[in-house]
Amino acid sequence: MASHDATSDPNEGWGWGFDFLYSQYMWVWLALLILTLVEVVIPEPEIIGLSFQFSRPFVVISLISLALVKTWMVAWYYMHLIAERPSIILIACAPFLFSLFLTIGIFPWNGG
Amino acid sequence: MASQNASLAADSMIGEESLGVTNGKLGMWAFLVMDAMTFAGLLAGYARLRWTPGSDWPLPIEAFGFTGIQLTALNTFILICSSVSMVHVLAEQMRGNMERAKKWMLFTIFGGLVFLGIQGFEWTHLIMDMWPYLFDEGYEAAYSVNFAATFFILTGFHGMHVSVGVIYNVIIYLGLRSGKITKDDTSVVEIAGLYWHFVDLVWILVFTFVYLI
Amino acid sequence: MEIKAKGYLSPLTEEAKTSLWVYLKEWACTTDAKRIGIMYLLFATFMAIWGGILSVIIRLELAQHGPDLIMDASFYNALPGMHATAMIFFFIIPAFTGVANFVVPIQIGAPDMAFPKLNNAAFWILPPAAILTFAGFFMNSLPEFGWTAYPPLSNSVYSPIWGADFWVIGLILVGVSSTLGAVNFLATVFNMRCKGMKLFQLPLFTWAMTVTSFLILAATPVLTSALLMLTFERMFPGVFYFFNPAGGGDPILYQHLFWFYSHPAVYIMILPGFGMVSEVIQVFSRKHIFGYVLMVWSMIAIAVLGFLVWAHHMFATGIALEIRVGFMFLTMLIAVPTGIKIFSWLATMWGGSIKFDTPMLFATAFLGMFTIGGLSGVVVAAVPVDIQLHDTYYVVAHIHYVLVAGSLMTAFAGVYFWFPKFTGRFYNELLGKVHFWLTAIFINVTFFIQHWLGMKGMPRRYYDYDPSFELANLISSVGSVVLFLAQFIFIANMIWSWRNGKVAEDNAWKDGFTLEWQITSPPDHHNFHHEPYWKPLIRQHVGPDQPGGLWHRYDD
Repeated sequence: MASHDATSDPNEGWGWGFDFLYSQYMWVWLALLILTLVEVVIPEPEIIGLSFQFSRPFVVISLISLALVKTWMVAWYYMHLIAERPSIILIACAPFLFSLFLTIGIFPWNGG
Repeated sequence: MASQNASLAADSMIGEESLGVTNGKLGMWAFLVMDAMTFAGLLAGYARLRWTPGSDWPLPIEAFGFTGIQLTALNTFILICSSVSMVHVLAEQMRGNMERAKKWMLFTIFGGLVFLGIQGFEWTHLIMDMWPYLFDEGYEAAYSVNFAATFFILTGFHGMHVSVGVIYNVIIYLGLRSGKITKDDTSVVEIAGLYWHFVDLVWILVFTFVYLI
Repeated sequence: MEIKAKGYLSPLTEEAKTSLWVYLKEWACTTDAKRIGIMYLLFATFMAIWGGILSVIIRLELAQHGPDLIMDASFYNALPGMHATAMIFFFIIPAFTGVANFVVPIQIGAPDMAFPKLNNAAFWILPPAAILTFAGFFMNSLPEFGWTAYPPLSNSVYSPIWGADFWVIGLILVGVSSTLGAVNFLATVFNMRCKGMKLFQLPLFTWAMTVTSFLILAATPVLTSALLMLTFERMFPGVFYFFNPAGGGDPILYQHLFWFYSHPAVYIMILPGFGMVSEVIQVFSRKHIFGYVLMVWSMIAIAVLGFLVWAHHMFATGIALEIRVGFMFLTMLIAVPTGIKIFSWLATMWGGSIKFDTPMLFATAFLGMFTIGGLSGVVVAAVPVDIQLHDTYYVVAHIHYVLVAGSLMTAFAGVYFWFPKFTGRFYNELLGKVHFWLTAIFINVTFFIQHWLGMKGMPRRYYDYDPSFELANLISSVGSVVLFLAQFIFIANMIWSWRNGKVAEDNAWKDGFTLEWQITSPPDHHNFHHEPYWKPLIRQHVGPDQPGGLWHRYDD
C-alpha cells in the first residue's frame, strides 16, 4: 500500500499544512514536479536564462530517460507496485516489453 | 497489509490459490495492459511517421511556441497534483477519515476538469490560429500535416481517458458521499486510483514525445 | 410448454419452468459462464455457416474459368475479405472463448468466472458487431479491400462507402469484446483456483487459454489503434494522412500495426486448440501428458516469439533486407517450440492404450495435417521463396491447413470431447465418425491442390484465372462443397443428441482426471457441490515405474 507508513501514523490530527510532506508519496510528488521542470528546461535552456543549446542527441536521450524515470515513479509508488507481489509487477512490465518490440520493429531504421 | 487482507477476505469470489490480490485489482491491471498497448500502437506509429526521412516534421518547441509548452507543462503539473490527491483519498480512507477523503476526491475531480479545460482551450487555439488549413482549403500547411494529425489522435485519445477517469471518479465520490463506500472498501478506491494514475503515467509519455522531443 | 432440463440448463425461477420466453430471457441475461459459453458456441456456429456459405460461393465461382456464377466482379472482390472476417473474428475466436467459458472455471475449481457480468457484456457486444461488420450486404456497399484492409485501398478515396466504415467499427467492437473476455480469463485463472491447483498443476487447456488471453491483451489493442487511425483518415480526409502517401503518410505503417496484431492472432486462434488436443490425447491414450512443463513453456515461447515475427507478412513490401532476414530467422525459430509440442503429443500416445473415439480421431488427424500446414509455413518464411509465393494460392493453402486442419479440427475435437459434459448426453458415435472422415478427407481434397496452384503462380483473391488451372480449381471446388455439406452432419448430430443421445455419466470417458469430470453431467449452476480440491499430480517426467512416469497409466 502506498501509505503503509501512514496507516501506523499516530499523528491523526494533521491539517492541510506541510505536515503531509512526511509521507513518502509527497516526496514522490515533489520529485515528479522537479523532474517536469527539468524536462521543460532541457529543450529550451533560455527559459532560465542559459544562453546555450544542448545537443540534439543529449536532448532526446535525457528526455526519454526522464520520462521513463517519471513513469516508473508513478507506477512504483502511486500504483503501489512497491507493495505488490512479483506476479503483478510482471503483468505491469509486460506492456513495456511488447511496446519496445513494436517500436523497435516499426521504427524507420534505414529510411523505412 | 492488514486492511488488504481484510478486503481480500471480503471478496468471496477469490479462490484458495490466488495471486493474493482482489479480482478487481487483477482485472484492472489486465485492462491497463491492454490500454497501454493501445497507446503503444499510437505512439509507435507517431515515431515512424515522424522519423521517416523527409517527413518535414517541425520541432515541437518551435511549432507550439514558448507559451504552448509552458501551458502544457502547467497542465502536466495539474495532472500530477490530481494524481497525488488521489493517493490522499486512499490514505485518508485507510485512516478512516472519510470527510477528508471526500475533500481530496473533489480535488482530484477538479484537477481532471481543469486539465480538460486547458486542453480544450489549447485545441481551440491550435485549430483556429495555428492550423487553419484543417477546415479552410484556402490555407496551406506550413509543415507535415501529420504533425497536427498525430497530435490530435494522441492527445485526443488521452483526453478521452481523462474524461472517462473524471466520470469514474465522480461515481466514486458519489459512493463516498452516500456512504456506500465505507472505510473498509479500500479496494474500490484503490482500483479507481490505478486507472487515474495510469492516465497520469501515459500523459508523462505523451507530453515528452509530442511536446518536448 | 414445460421446460425440463438438468443441471445448469434447468430454469432458475418458477416462471421460467413454464414459459419458454422467460426461459430464453433468463439465458440472455445470465451471468453463468456455462450458459454464456453455450451462447458463444451457438453464435460461432451461425457465423461458421455464414462464413462457409461465403466460401462456397467463392469456390463455385472459381470452379470454372471465366465469369459464371457471379456476374459482378466487385461483389466477388468483397467475398474473400468477408469470408475471412466471419471465420476469424466471429467463428474461431468466439468458438474457443465459448468452450473456455464453460470449461476453464470448472477445470480450476471455481464456481464461475471472476467477472460474471462483464462476461455477459463481452458476449453481447458480438452480435451488434457482427451486424455492423456485415452491414455492407444490406446496404449494397461491400468493402472490397479484403480482411487486411490495407490503405490506400481502404481509405476514403478508393473505398468511399459506408459499408467499409461499418466494417472497421465492427472490427473494433470485436476487439473490445475479446479483450474484455481476456481480462476475465486472466483474473479467473490467476485468482480463483481451488486448493492445490498451483500454476504448474493447471490442466493444459487452461494454460492455453491463459497464454491466449495474454496474447489477446497485448496484441488486439494495436489493431484497435490502427483501425482508429484508419477511421479518422476515412472520416476526415484532408486532415488525417496517417497512411496516405499523398499527405506524408506511410501505408507500410498500417501493415506493421496490422500484423503486430494479426500475427499473434494466428496463435490466438491455434493455442486453445493445442490445449484441447492436449486434454483429448491424454484421456484417450489413458496417459498423462508427456513433458508437461515443457509443453507449458513452449506455449509461452510461442506466445513471446509470436510478437517478434510479424514482418514476415511484409517481405514483398520492400522493407530493409536486414529486417527481413531478422524476421525470417525468428519465424523459423517458432518451429522449435511447435515441434516440441508435436513430439510431446506423439510421446503421450506412445505406449498408451488408445481409444479412437471421434475426439481422438480429430486430434490425431490434426497432428498430421497441422504439421503439413506448419511445414508450408517454414517454406514461406524464407525470404526468397516468399517473394515468389506471396499473394498466391500457396499462402491460401498454408493458412487453410493451419486454420481449418488446425483450429477447426481441434475445435471439433474439443466440442465432441466435452459434449457429454455440455449436455449430459453422448453424441452419436457413428455420425461423428462419418463427419470426421468426410471432414478429414475433403479438407485435403480442397486445400492440398492449392499448394500446386500457388507454385504455378495463381494469384489469390482474383475473380478469374488462367484456363490451364481449371481442373485443379474444379477439384478444390468440389472438395469445398462436400466439406461444407459434411458439417451439417455435425450440426444434426449435435441437435439430435442433445435430446436423444445416450445418457452420459459424470466421468463420461471413464479416464478423465481433470475436475470437470468429477462433477455431474451437465454441471449444476455453481459447478461444485463441495469445495473442490486438487490432489497435485507429478507433472515432471520421472522414472518409468513411478506414478506420473512415462509408463504410468491413469487406470493403474
